[in-house]
Amino acid sequence: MKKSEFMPNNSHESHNDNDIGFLYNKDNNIKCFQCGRCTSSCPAARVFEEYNPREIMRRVQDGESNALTFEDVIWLCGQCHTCSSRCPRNNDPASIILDLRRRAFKEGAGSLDLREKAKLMAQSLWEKGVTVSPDLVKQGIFGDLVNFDVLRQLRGEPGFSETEAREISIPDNALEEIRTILRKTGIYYQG
Amino acid sequence: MTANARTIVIDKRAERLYLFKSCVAGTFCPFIERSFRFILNLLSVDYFDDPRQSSCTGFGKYCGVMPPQTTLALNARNLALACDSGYTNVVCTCPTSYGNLKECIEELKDERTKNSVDAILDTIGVEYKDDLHVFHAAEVLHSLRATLRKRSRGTLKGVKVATHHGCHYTKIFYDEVIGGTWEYPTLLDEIFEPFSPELIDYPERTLCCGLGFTHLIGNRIYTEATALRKLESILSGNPDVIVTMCAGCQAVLDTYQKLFENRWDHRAPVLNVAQLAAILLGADINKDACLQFSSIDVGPLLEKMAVI
Repeated sequence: MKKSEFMPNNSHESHNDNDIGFLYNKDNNIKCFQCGRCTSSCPAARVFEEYNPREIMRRVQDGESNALTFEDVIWLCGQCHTCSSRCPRNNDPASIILDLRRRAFKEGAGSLDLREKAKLMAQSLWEKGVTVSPDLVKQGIFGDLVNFDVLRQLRGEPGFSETEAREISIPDNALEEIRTILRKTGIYYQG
Repeated sequence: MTANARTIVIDKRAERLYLFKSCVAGTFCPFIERSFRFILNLLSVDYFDDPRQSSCTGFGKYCGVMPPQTTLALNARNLALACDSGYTNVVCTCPTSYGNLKECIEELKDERTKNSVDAILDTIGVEYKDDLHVFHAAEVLHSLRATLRKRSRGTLKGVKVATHHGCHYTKIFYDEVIGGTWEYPTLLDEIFEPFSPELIDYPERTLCCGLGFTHLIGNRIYTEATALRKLESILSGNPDVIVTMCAGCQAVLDTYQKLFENRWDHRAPVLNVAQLAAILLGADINKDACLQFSSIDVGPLLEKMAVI
């Protein structure tokens, strides 16, 4: 990998040119020797035959830096970070895969469903300053896993809001600060 | 930080807490913060419940759909609020907030990254500072464990307890785990040890609960397979309760026991560490600890704990 391709780009001038890359590991370079401990430890690799973090590490280390060429496999990681904690070379495969995801997402990758749900999270951040809320459950972000009516009933009894995650909402002036940050870092919500 | 300096910080981890709100906990398990506040109030621990703090954006970040500069700038603001308030032990009830905030602090040590975030914060008149420490609520309860025991009339004698430590606590900053190691965490076990429970070990102790971020809001193939693998292992020891430190883990392990209720002869309620500790300190099981959220019958557990 050419390290410079993954270094932070600190321009915030526009939505498309504001990517701060994550530090891959403490030394900011990859030193994978393909031992495979990441893949053998990985709960997602156990579920999905096509998912292999060792192979992703090989491709990135070999200089493959276009996130779109990884296609669907990068979305199979569960972000549990077992690979990173077990790597004998102190690499951080989970963060590398996360960075590939972010780059691919920015270029329009990710399922339509994921992109719709990302919009819901961005909208929630804009409106309320929180990423997840009972209101998003109502809008179906967790599909049929969580029944909103059941959640609403459970929350109502001990006096929690039926739709808000916070017991005390974020004050308006603080919310305005949050929105300024969102505007400047690429989240624009237009209702 | 030297080893000695870190020990001093850890020793003071229950002082002047900045209570960092979690949106995932606030959505699925609002009783976690309520139980934690109950304990802090009872033990007169000084904390600041600042409503100005935004989400850490962790759920979106680990899905890969949150612009990194958004996560960094929002959390630089959050950390600045804590610093300016003088409550510099930031305590998270959510392991993802914990891991994410610590990652942001590390990333903001890079000068170019910090400069770009400073420029954004400048527009709202905020200055980023990192003269603070980030802890998980379980670490705070761990430091208070002797006091918890002393103030409690409850016991866990004869209660089989299995613990599950969240991945974003044990595996992101794996060399900073308090209690055991990241491969064999015992933080939660040590909190309840003074209450004389029967602590259960199980083979898949470090396995993910199955949440998986994109998977939870997607088709849940990973979530189901991994949650079932985890539950098979935990339930093989016939625990009376599964103790977690993460709202996401709690929601998944509870929900999948309910969804597959005929799969096991024995099931166990899933409680957050703060919930169980609050009950041991005499919290109301409905108003404070909100046990009615559990899909699994808590009756047998409460009977063993002599709460009912």
